Amino acid sequence: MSWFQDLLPLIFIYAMLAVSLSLLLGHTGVFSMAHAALFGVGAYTYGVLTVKHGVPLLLACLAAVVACALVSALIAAPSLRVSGDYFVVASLGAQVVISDVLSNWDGVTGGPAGLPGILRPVIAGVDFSSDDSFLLLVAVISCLTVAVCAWVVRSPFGRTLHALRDDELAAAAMGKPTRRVKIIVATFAGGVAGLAGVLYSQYFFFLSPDTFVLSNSITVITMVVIGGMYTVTGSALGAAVILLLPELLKELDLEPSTAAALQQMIFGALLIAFMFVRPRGIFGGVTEIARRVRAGQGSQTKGGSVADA
Amino acid sequence: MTLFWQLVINGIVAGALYALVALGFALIFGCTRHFHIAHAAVMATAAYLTFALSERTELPLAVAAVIGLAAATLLGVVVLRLIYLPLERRGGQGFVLFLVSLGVLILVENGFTLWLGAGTLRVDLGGALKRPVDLGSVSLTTMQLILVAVAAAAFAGLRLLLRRTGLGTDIRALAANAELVRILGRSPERITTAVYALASVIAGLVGVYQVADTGIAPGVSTNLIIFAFVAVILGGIGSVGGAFAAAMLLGLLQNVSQLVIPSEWSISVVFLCFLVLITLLPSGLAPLRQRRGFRLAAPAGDRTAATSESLRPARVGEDG
Amino acid sequence: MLTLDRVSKSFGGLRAVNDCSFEVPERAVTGLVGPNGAGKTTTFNLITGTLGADAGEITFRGRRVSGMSPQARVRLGIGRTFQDVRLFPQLSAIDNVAMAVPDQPGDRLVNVFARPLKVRRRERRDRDFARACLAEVGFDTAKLGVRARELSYGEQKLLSLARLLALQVDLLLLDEPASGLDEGSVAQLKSVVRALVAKGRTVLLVEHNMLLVRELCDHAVFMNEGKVLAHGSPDDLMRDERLQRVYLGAEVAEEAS
Repeated sequence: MSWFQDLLPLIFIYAMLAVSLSLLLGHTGVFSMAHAALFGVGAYTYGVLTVKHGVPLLLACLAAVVACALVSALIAAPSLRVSGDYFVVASLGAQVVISDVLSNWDGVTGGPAGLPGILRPVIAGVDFSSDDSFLLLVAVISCLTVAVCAWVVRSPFGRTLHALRDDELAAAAMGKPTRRVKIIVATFAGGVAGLAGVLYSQYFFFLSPDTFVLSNSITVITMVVIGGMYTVTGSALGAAVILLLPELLKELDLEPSTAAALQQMIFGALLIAFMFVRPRGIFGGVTEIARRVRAGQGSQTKGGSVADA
Repeated sequence: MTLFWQLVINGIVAGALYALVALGFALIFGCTRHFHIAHAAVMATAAYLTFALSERTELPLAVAAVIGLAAATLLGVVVLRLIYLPLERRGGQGFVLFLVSLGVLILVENGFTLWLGAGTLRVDLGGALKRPVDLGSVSLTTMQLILVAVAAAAFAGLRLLLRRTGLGTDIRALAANAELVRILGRSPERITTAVYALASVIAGLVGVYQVADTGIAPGVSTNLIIFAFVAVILGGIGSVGGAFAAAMLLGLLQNVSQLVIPSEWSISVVFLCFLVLITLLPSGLAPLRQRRGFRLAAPAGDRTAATSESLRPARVGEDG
Repeated sequence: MLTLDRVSKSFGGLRAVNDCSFEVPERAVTGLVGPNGAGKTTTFNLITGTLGADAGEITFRGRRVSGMSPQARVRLGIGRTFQDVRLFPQLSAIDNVAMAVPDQPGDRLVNVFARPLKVRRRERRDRDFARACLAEVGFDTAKLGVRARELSYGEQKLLSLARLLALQVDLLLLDEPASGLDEGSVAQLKSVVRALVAKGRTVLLVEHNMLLVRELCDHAVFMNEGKVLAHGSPDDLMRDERLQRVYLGAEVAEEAS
């Protein structure tokens, strides 16, 4: 089962990506095509700062997160001012441009040859270089991220997000700062993607710009949609499902390029199928059932208890 | 100076290519508000099939191209009728349609990659079309000249169609108010099918050109459609003339900017300009053009969230 | 309090609002009446900022509001209900109302992390206020926790009115508040509107129920085909034969088609 152990950190990292994207996609109704690019900005910012400039690891990590949040805000602010359609196009453009930059800016990023030499962190004297300890680190950070995102969704801020998603006109008529909220969520999601990027660079000790291309953005979207875009935990599980799929393909012993194309075809087919059959994803609805059970057990006369769950 | 003019010519050629894609997308988006990203797959289908049929069979290139074009048109219409319309009937909104369109795009593109490989595939047209045409100190190939002519013809033809024909009136009516069209006894579905067919033929032409020019590879069509998206937004949603003008502008910008910046950064520059432009002019270039050109629908400057948003997720009960 | 000066709005070739001018006096109830398609809801949309006017000027308390976002106008003191209700379907009744209370710290993500206690305290206060608003409109207290989409149409209408009350604005725009309500609820509506005016608020409502308009409105504006045809007391308007013909004519034409 060592292939699974090798895959596990990746699952945790992609879960962070999926969960942050689901905040945007499922809970706010904003469609971003640039998540892989943001992932890359975080990874490369960290990589370049630590490898080429010797910046202390934690500082570089912070810089990566901030850089990502900033880039996300820069894409969101002008486009979301107008409409979600503009944001789709802006994020699409940003994705293409950023992956071009990562590939072309040889001097800084190492270009297509990649950026080697990234080290795993030593935090408070503890060295996380070994695979086991790194897995633990990633798992903890990932679970914390998922928990934080779930908390955001359940909070009053989450309620505002859902109102915005369901009826932006009514939300605006109620005085909700719709534009500001959307930009803030985009910025937050960007920051999380940046953190995931940092962990990713540490995982492989190496970065290649091929990882952060448009098709990977679409992969993350697929994770969110298949897992459940309206729930936080669902998206995280979606990451696991989508990452396990290629492992099954390995049984077929195909050439890597064939396998990659086939994998993408399956994602495409899944997206189409799910939109017809089950738009809320595999795991969408599980939390709903759990909540109904809890509500049934408690009293329902106390005003608002149903909505509190 | 010669370099400048050569870059201008290159820009016009590039602009013509983007304009053809943008015209089709502007028509579709203006009428239906479908974010039909699978339009890139339609392009790719024409390109890949033309390649496959002319290189792998005995068929002459012209026949292969026609079949490729037909297949592309068929794909566009099939996606509309078998996927978008049924989903719409079930209450699926723009969000859902975009996801499905994305799915179609990656399914079709990767299908071709699986079949024909991930490299750049080109069809060699031989000398005639590659012969340069000299215009003073600048030149372009015969093929490029034909492209520009086709783009201009497509634009003129579309204008004529929209203004002078019954179908054109139907299309403009649909863009303004789908319900009204139904009340008047017309079938929105039939009009939409015509729109998709028309746009897909144009996209198919782009695909055929592409495979004969620099070739088709994974991602090429997607890059083209991004330019089309940008052009449609800059030109003002609903304005076919605006999309055409914006596309030409993008092509020029991408090429002329190479006077001062290395060519690999030209796309980034164009995109950055896009971001700056929509910050300053949210409704696109349309307000600057007022009455000229023609609109398919109301300008996007209206703050009605209901009309300017085409991507909203369906209301679902779950959260958290 | 509110002045519309030669306001126009077109959609393509259709002039929904055509050179429209009228005033809404303070601390009174004004009715906006006219046949269907007269442009009344579009006028509402222009006042609240959902739509931008093509021409003309809208002034609220001496301030020009053109170009202001809907949220900014809410802050100034203009609020509305919707003809198609537009509640948030999966939120409970009380949550729907509590959402509208202005200046919620919970709307800022920073506060969710940095000031959770403050957020929770304000939540509780907003909830109490929401309960008061719901009581004021006569909403059934047993259904506070029920999801909006599970309520009857009449209950939803009352809920949307309570939501507007929670917004605490000085100019309330009600879009067909009485449609779908039973007699008891209509009586409740009347008393709520009168109480609001007594407290110093201003109400502008769109209504087809002419009896209600006569009973409730101090002042009325008659629109047809985007233009203001007349304004005055409801009695005067209703006695005007020309307006009757327009109104009935439009209704008859509608029935015939």
